Amino acid sequence: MDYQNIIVKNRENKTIELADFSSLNIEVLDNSKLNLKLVNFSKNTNLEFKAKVGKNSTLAVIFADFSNSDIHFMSNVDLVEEGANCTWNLATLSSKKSQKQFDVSFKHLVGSTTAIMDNYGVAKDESKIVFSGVSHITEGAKKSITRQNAKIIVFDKEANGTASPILKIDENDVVASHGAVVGQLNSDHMFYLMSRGLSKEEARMIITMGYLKPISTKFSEDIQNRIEEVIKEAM
Amino acid sequence: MSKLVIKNLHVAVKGKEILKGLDIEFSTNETVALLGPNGNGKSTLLQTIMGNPNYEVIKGSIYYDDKDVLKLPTDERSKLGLFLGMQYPSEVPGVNNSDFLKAALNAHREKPVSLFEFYKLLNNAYEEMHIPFEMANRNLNEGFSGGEKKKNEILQMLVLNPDLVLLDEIDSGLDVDAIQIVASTIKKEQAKRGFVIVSHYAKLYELIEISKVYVLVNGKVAKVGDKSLIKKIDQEGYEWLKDEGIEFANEEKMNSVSIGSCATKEALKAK
Repeated sequence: MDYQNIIVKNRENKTIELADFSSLNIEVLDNSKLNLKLVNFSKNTNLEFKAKVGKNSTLAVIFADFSNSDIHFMSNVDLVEEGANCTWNLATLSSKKSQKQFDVSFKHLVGSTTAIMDNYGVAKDESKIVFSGVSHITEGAKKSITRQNAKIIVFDKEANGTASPILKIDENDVVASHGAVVGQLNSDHMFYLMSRGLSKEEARMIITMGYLKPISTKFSEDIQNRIEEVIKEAM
Repeated sequence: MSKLVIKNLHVAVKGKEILKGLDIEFSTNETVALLGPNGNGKSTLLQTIMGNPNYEVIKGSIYYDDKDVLKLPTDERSKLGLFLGMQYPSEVPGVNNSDFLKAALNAHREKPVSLFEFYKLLNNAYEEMHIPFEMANRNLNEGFSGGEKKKNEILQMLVLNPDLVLLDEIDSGLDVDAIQIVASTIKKEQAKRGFVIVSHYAKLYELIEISKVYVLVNGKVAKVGDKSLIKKIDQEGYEWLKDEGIEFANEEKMNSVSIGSCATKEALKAK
């Protein structure tokens, strides 16, 4: 597979916004920072993401997937030197019969490294979202911090959401946590909004937009509008 | 003037019948006080009128003039001019207060409201309720105090301009100043619209005009009266109604296991 390579090093601080990619190979090295904003509206089924984060460097990923096709997304982030840091935010919307799987894994190879993952999903109709992946703290990677957080709202009876984050910890002196919530649209919220005159569709829309806000607002206005359009269409 | 006419209404919550053949009428030119002991149907009535899906109508009818309310989804009921100020307003994460109000307002209109008109309307409502205008940019009820949530309900009423307003314990969680603000707003609005007000405290009722008082007991109207009825209940409670032969809703049997005893053992014994 052809990889698109992005290398940031020597105390660089970069922000890159990419729409529609298939495979990415990222390196953030020696005291650098990369803000990577990814959007996927394409029909690519297999997406691959590899990253290496080095000394005192930060990789901040925001990934919004609003395509209406099947997806298998594979991500491996290696934290290879002390002070390596990765924050990961993902939002996805699935509708009709699409099946979407996101494997998001982190490997803490040395100590004092951090990986914070937040994955959000909205599953409609008969679609399915799976969040999986392994956060691995290797032996000797003391003082590392790893967190996995996955949330899926299941909109319809036939829709399906699975969040199965795995922690693999081979060192004692670490901080590790994971949380997974899969639930239906809050019926009290729906009633509240509808009692003010919003139709069922409008209420769903406004709740979904609010739910995705922690991620959607991090994008440029142009992409925010596109996200809103796609959600509107899906409702 | 419009009329909400409720006939022989039976409603169950989680399979338990709460309203048991209720007949009652509200009109848009009166303010009704709705009293009654806890668990006897006041909130159930208001939630049912608005169409909360957790309340199952078994029998009966609700008409608003010639409109069959029970056939309409909740948003259509709102568009008819009904408004429910909730006892526990929902906190909806990520939903901006003013965006929500604008969407709600537009749902009631054919043409979307202009920015200027909306700003003016909103600003007036915030001023009237003594809520800082910055709150418009916060998320809907998220992190609001109990009192702020309740004032926000009245604020929504001012923005949406309904004809019949149902208020479910709007005064609980309000401090003395906030009660004054809510009461003076209601008083100002009484000429424009009808109110049905549920409260456990005489205080709010004292501050506004009351045209009629209903006491709901065991899912039916047990007593109709004027303002003097509120005073009597405030002083004497509801017990005297029993002497008049009125039956109360069965109070839930308490679990016989008390703190201090081994709950597991007691539960096993019960089997």
